[in-house]
Amino acid sequence: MNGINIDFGRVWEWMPTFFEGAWVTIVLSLSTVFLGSLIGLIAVLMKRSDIKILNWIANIYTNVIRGTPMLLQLFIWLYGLPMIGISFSGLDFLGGTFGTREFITAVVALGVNSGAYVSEVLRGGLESVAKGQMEAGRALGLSDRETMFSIIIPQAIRIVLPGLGNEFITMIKESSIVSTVGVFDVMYTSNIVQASTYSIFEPLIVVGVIYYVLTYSLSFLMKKWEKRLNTYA
Amino acid sequence: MLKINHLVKNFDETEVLKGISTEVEKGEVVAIIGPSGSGKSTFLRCLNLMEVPTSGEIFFKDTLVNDSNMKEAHIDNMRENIGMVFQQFNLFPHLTVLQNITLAPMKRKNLNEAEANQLAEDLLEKVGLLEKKDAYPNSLSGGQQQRVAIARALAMNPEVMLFDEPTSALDPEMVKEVLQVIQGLVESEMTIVIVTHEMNFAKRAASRVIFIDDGNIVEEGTPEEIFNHPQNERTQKFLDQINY
Repeated sequence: MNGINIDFGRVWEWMPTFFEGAWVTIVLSLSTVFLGSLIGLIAVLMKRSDIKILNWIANIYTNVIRGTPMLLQLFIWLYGLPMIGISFSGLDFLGGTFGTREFITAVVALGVNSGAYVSEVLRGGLESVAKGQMEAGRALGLSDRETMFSIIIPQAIRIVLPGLGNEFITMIKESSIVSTVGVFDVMYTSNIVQASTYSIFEPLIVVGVIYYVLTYSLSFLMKKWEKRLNTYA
Repeated sequence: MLKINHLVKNFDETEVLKGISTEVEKGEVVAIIGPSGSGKSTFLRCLNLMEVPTSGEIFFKDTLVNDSNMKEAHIDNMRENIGMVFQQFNLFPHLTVLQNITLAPMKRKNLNEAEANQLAEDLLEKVGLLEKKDAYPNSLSGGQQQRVAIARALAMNPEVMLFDEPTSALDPEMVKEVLQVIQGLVESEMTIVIVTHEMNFAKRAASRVIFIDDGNIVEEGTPEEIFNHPQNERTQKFLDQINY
């Protein structure tokens, strides 16, 4: 054991910093998931559309996002697109953490990324709702849109919930890449604490435990929610 | 009410309907019989454009239904007036029995919730399922589900009801309760087109019977003519083969 000295006592006083970072990770993931679901829903409606050009746009979007690394996408949003005039400004009223250009761009980059995966999960869900449901809606005189929103989507949500839960859990973990661009998330706190305490091992373990608690709680909540929604079955 | 001119429907290479022409008058009860795969369900499903005809014309109250220039919204309006009941019920499993019935009237007829609920309760009373109004479809028997499906279609106050083998997916002991509800509609002088294998029902309730085989109308006439004095050899053979 020469020279190795594991001592969590040294990082204990940094716990508030870890929790602050964890809070940033939670807000980031939630915003991402919200934006991603919205984009995913729009993308899947485009994929189902009769208008060919909408199909193409949605399919190209999904393929490009799924075929390139998220880190690259983040860099493009943050450093590439501003070069051609596309950038997000900070929102000061959201404060020094959530209002920064980096945080807001990260939400957009991750949300756009997540949307592609969500749209595929949703497509699978929609396709698994029985064909007769669409027919029954249309036969009553409901339009395609009314049938989608009142009949197909509510059923699809129950089917896609596990898939969406997985996507959200993935997002919590994947969101750690924002630490590379200076967003103060829980991953980033390990850098701060390492630099201040010269401990390498302990901060990484603390961060790992925090991620695990977050993802485990989420999967627990998703399971409960699924059960509640399944009452009619 | 409905006028069909030389209706043809192809699925890929297969010609399922080979030129069907007939008419349905207001108040008529038309039973469509024939062997499996003869095209009788496809014919019924063309009437409200669940299937788009390959060629031919369908008129609903003198309006051409399968007009390719017709807007989706017009088709939706037309479908409001043509109720349909499916073999597999197709109730909405995420909604209660009451909500299954109130959904379309609230969306399409601008009924408020209280009016729609009242309408739904009246209809459920009619089909004998008022006590099930808060149940979910999957907790009901097949016969009960089909009665709810009929109430759901009636809630739009249609001028014609299409029944696509409404009792074929039911256990034998549940056939009667569904046929009784349909019989009630017959007595209220609803215009009905029903594809069925229940020959006794067709015999008793129909004002006209159409025998379809191989995508064509082989013979049509009163139940007396079709069941007791079939003229065509294929009709005779079909009726001999089945047990009723």
